[in-house]
Amino acid sequence: MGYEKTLKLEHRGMRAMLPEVKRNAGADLDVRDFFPSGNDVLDRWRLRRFREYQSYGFPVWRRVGLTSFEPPRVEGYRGLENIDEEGLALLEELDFEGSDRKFVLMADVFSMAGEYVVVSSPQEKVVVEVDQDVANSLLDLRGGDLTLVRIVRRERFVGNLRVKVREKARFKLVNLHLVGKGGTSIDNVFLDVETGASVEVYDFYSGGRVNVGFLAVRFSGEDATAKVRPYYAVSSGSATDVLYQMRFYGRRNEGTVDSKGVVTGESKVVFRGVLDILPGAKDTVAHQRNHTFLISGSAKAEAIPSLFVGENDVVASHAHSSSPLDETAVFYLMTRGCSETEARELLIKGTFEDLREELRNFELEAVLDHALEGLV
Amino acid sequence: MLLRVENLRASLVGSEKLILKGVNLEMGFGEVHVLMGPNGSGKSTLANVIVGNPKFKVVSGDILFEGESILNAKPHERVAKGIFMTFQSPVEVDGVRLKQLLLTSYRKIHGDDSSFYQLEREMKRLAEELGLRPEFFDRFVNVGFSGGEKKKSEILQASFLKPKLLILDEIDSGLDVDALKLVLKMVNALREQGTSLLIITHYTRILEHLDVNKVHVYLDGKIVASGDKWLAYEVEKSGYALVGER
Ligand SMILES: Nc1ncnc2c1ncn2[C@@H]1O[C@H](COP(=O)(O)OP(=O)(O)O)[C@@H](O)[C@H]1O
Ligand SMILES: [Mg+2]
Repeated sequence: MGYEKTLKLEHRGMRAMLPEVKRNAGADLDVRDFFPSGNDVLDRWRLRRFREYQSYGFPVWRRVGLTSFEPPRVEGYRGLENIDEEGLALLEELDFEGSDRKFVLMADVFSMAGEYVVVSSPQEKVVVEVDQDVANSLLDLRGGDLTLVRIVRRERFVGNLRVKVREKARFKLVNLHLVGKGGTSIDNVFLDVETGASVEVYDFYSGGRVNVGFLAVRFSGEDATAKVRPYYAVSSGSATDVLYQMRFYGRRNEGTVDSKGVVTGESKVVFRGVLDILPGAKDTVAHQRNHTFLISGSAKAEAIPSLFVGENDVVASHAHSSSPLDETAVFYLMTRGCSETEARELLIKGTFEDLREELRNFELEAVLDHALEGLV
Repeated sequence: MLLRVENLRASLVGSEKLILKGVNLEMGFGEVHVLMGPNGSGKSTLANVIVGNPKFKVVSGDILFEGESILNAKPHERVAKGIFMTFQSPVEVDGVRLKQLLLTSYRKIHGDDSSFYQLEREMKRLAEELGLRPEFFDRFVNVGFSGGEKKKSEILQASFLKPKLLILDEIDSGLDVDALKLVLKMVNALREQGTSLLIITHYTRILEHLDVNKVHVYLDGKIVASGDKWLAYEVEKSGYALVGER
């Protein structure tokens, strides 16, 4: 069975050519790192993926300066060990490429944390702190209303999260990446959204020398909505590369990506947005917006939007921009008593105010404030 | 003397062209002055230079507040001395809530003596007087505010912070009659508490609600005539140019 590619290469009979990703033949995990899970069905699946895993090297990502990748130490398997045939079928259905297939496969085969959960409770809120360097989770949301706060506070990280949001279910994800200063984090999130379901995502990136994020929403049914709000605070020489993808198969789905962030010092953000409206996805509404505040002269922001529209009756837009802080707003705040530094701090923190408001529900504002320290 | 502007010349930073071309103005404690002049004559620039907008540079002259030059003081130091300006076009400040700004400002200017509870009560009182709902304080400053709400928010901030000198830059423009009444009531209350007012306006209707000490006619970067409130009515009748020529 094929997996969901990040960029579909065929549209209206046109075929696009993508340059081959350069790969690195450095040290890699091997069969000695493959620990049995105790679940034979799962392990057969893992072994198949392990073979695919071995067929690629690590990608060379020049944009974020990732030229080699040091694999994590694997000390056992944890993740989907309680999965059954039904769960495995779902896993196949939610197979995807992510920012790079290699890392999706790594988390599938070598995870040391994660779970397979079937949820259908009327209303539930869960806070999970990922406590291993490699993690893999599968969530089957069969109904009801689930809020998941997922905290990745690690030096290094490779992770997958797959979520099936079934008919009329509601899912909110608050995904916080707080990576250690010199660290590398690669997170791949794939959401499949069925008819009438609704999804809301707050996705926050901070820290790391290399911080790579991928989040896809696949609208497989009709009349569903997804609101994705990415935030990033990039400082201390970090390179953050995030990709948000929405792919519309069914009709009357509505998806928005509304993103903002702050880049300081010698740091860089690459924001990729992919909106992919397939033939037949009539009455799709798809909007994508991104603004970056560049706090220093050497901070960089690059936006790479892709919009594929294979259907006529749709509304789609994307807008990407960057600017320094608004000096008239700085002055305004100064006339209200703030020093220049305090005014800038208020404006920078203000960029994340909606996220802070959301975190307040879980008494997690301090996590954000801590991540924003030293940004000014 | 509360404020003395001496032969003030100023331009935009990076430009040679003078916008203020020798402004002279004296205001005593507790006085109310009205400044009238055509669009583009430099009234807002004067107000901005008094509060220290870094977009402008003072070429010559001085601004004394309570006898001391404030030219080297930063905007937040000037507001701490007691100078406050309401903006003609208030800026949207995304992500900063009005309540948060008011509390921060108040503590910067007056210290920590008042309790959160007292300050909140005062905010509520002011909002009620202006016909604003309490939720108004939770909104981001000026973001999505109507024209009237922006002006109300400005006068509310001024009243909350109780400056010694309040510069009102066209607070009456774009307000309907009812809103204007509420705003002027608040201006009057400030004046009664001893705040001095420098009111920039195009309209004489403000004079019907307020006792003024002096009216100045401002043309092309300087004050060309000063008098009592009848000067304002003359301007209204004959236009700025004629009054300026005398
Ligand atoms: N930020 C600015 N950039 C360019 N020109 C400006 C700026 N601020 C003021 N000016 C110019 O200075 C002059 C005076 O403007 P202003 O002080 O706003 O006048 P008023 O308030 O009397 O209408 C105008 O010619 C205006 O175009
Ligand atoms: Mg003006």
